[in-house]
Amino acid sequence: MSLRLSVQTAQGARTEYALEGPELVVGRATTATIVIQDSRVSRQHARFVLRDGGWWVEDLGARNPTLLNGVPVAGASMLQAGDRIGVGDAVLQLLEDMPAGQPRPPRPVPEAGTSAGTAPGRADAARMWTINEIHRALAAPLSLAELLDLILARCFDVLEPEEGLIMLRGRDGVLATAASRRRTPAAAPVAIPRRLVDEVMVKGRPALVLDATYDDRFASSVSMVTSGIRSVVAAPIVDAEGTLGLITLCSRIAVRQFAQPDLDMLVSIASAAALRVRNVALADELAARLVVEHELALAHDVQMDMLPRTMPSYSGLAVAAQLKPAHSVGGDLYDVLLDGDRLWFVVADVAGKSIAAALYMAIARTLFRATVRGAGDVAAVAGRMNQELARDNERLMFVTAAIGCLDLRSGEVAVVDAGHNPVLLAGPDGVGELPGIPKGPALGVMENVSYVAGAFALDPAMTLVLYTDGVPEARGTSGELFGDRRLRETIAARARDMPIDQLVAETMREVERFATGAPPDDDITVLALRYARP
Amino acid sequence: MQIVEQQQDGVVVIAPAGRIDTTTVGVLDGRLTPLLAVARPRIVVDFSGVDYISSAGLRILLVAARRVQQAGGGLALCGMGDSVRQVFQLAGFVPLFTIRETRTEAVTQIAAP
Repeated sequence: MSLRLSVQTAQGARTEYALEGPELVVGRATTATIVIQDSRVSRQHARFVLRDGGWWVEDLGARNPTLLNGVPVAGASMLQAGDRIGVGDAVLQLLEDMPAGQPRPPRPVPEAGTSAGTAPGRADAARMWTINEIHRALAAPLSLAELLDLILARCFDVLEPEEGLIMLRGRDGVLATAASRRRTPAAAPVAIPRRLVDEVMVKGRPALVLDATYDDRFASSVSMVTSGIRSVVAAPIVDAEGTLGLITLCSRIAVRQFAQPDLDMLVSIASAAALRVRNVALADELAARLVVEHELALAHDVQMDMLPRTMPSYSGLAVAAQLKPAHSVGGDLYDVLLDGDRLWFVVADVAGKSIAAALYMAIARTLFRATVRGAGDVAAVAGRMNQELARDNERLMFVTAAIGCLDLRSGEVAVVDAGHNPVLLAGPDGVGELPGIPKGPALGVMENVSYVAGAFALDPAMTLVLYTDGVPEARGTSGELFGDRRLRETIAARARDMPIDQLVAETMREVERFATGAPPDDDITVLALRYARP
Repeated sequence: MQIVEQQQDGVVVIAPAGRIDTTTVGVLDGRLTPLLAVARPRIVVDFSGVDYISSAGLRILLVAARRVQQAGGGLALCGMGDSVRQVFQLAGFVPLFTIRETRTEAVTQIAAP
């Protein structure tokens, strides 16, 4: 049986040569037996030698090494029919001569331990080389995308599929394509049957499909047949913690039918990759979380910047406030604003903890500042703020708020309760809820709400205290809540003669002491106010 | 958070258990969303097993109430303990919901005539 060498250049020209001894040189030089005009081909690139009745290929120190089935030829390698030799961008294939007119016999199913068309010893060496290559590459710092591309590239070098696909389970548990590679980029991607994917993922076992035409799992897969893809190997990417995904390689049967050694190879590659995929995925997840945390930190800065740095001063007025933010962004807010002879104040809490909540809080604060100037009364301010916040509020964000207005000439205070914690009044007789304040819904929930304010004269001996639910809901180490009663007792013990700043600071400290060690679940805000009319 | 779901006179009754807060509210949201996607959703949320609800939980219920109203269905709440009821009261939301003492009353209230 004689052999032929089919030469396919990068430009697509295909020529056949009879392989005749004793030797044959391939190169760019005109003195070569087979001349290939290609800048990636060296002048003397490779030599085919007949020795001991077999053909060998030898690399002649080419700048771009001669490849045998995708693997660089070290020294000389023995050849078999079907072998593909890469010279620059040209591919040389060793073919057996068939008597004309006789159909090619069906290719036998390869036995375990051999791969179609390759000698066992050499194939094993090539495979070892690839596995080593992958292990070495895995040690380099790579992103997940780079890592997956590299794995596919190596699979293409050694297993020569038409198409390769890596699917990974996302954080939501859904399997999605993470990387893919095709020999013909324009070809439509092959749809891997769900049954095969499930089989590999659920059982964690590799799968080898010699011929999809005769495989039940492909019964409904039209794309396989139309694309000409017939042979498939699939291996799970699995580590001790479970199945992360799978690698699938498809081949046209005419080009290459996968065999057991190919599957073994893919399993080795997949298991080498598994640990690294897990680590890199974790690192990527961490990086994504850091981005979110950075955004939350920015939102937190925005929130803190919105708080007034100094309190307005007015003869006889004492006002102080503190806000202690939770670890994650909360949505507490306080503001105090002097407008002529009126002092406006608000303590508010946006539902939920998120960037959306922080933004909604910023809107609420801006609305408060814009609405109070020249406003009729505090009920009108609440109504206007609500109207603006409720408009197009599809997500139904809402703000609970206690909004007040102190008339500095008369000493009268008017307060609106928009779904907020009660306002406390502390005096010589103890601490109680401010009576006669009608409850209205939190701001933003529905349009056209008419809020009603409660009004009373603020006695100079009394202290008005506003707070958010982070105070009574602060949790002690035993899980117990700080609660309303403890809050009132804390204020009662201090309200009589303690300066207002100190009253607020000590109340905050008391809450923190109660919740020692535990980071607050929610923002904590306290605002206190006294006024003695001059 | 566990949520037990039952059918009663054409009404879906869901009974969450434990705390409804920022961490667990997604579970309740995930359960309510498909129930709200039907033509005339009739839903009762039984709070007997709930010992705390945060503002994030209230927001999910507000969204549900609005959807139900738009779809011509019904939503009723029942079985509220003192602490849960207080959260609704504080936020001024009691008038915004149909709230009944018992499950039977709540189901009767919104069952199709």
